[in-house]
Amino acid sequence: MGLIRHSATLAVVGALGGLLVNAIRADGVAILRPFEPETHGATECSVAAGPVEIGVTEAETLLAANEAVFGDVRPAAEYAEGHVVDAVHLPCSADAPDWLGNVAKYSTVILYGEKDADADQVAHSLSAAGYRDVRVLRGGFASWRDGGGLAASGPCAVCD
Amino acid sequence: MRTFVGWVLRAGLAALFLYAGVAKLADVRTFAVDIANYRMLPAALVGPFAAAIPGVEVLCGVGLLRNRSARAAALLASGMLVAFTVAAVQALARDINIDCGCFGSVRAPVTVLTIVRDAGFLAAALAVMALAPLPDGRR
Repeated sequence: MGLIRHSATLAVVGALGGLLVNAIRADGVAILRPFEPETHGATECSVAAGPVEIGVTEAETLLAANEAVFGDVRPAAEYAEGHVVDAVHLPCSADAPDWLGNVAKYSTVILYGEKDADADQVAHSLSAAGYRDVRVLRGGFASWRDGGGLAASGPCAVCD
Repeated sequence: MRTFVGWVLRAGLAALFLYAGVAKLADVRTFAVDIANYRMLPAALVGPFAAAIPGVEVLCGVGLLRNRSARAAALLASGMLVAFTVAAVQALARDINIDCGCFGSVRAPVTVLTIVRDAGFLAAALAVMALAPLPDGRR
C-alpha cells in the first residue's frame, strides 16, 4: 500500500511540476481550453506536412456505418469508370463545391486518388477550410478495389 | 549479481525517462499535437496531459536513481508504459497512421515495433520493482 501511495505521490508531484513549468513558460500549451492544433493558413493545394492516413479496412467500416463522407479526387472520367460507393467527385482543381457546405466540419472525410499525393493536396485544402477529420485512403482507389471495397460507376450525381 | 543487474536496469530506465521527459518539455506544443493524434482523449484534456506527462517522466527518471524511491518510480514507470502501449495498440488497431511522439522531436511512426519496444521497457520496469532495494534499505 505504501508503495502505491509513494508512486501516486511521485505522479502527482511530477504532474504538478509539469503544469507549473508549462504555466510559466512563454511557449507552453493552453490547458484551460480545448486543444486546437495550430494551422498555418494553408488555402492552396500545397502544404508539406502529411495528413492522417486511413487503411481500407477501417474505411470500409466507416462506410458501412455511414460515418464518413468519401471524396474522389481523380479526373471525372476515372470517377465515372469506378469509385467508392457514395463517393463524391472532388478534384483538386475545383474550389470547395456548394454541397460540401452541407458536410459538418466535424465529419470524417476520406479522400482518395490514383496516388496518395493527389489526395494529400485536397486533404490539406479541406483541413485549412476547417474540416477537422480529413483522412487519405492509403493506396488510393486501387487499394480499395483490390481490397474488395464496395464500388459503383457512373458520373457524380450531386456534384453539379 | 542481482544488485548489478538491478542498477543497470534502473540507470537505463532512468536515462530513458529523463530523456523522454526533457525532449517533450522542449517542444510541448508538438507533444500536444501528438497526443491529439492518438484520438483517445477529449480535446479538453489534451493540453493538461501534454503539460503534465513530461514532468511525471522527469520525476520518474530522478526517482529511479534514488534508492528510497526506486521501487515507487518503477511502479509509476510501469503504469505509464502500460498506458503508452495501450495508446499505440489502439492507434494500430484503428489504422491511424501517426508519429509516436515518444521522444519529442525524434519523429517515428507507431508500428508493431513501438509496441514490442514498450513491452521490453515494461519488463525492465517490472524487473526493477523486483530488484530495487526497499525504501528502508533492505533487499
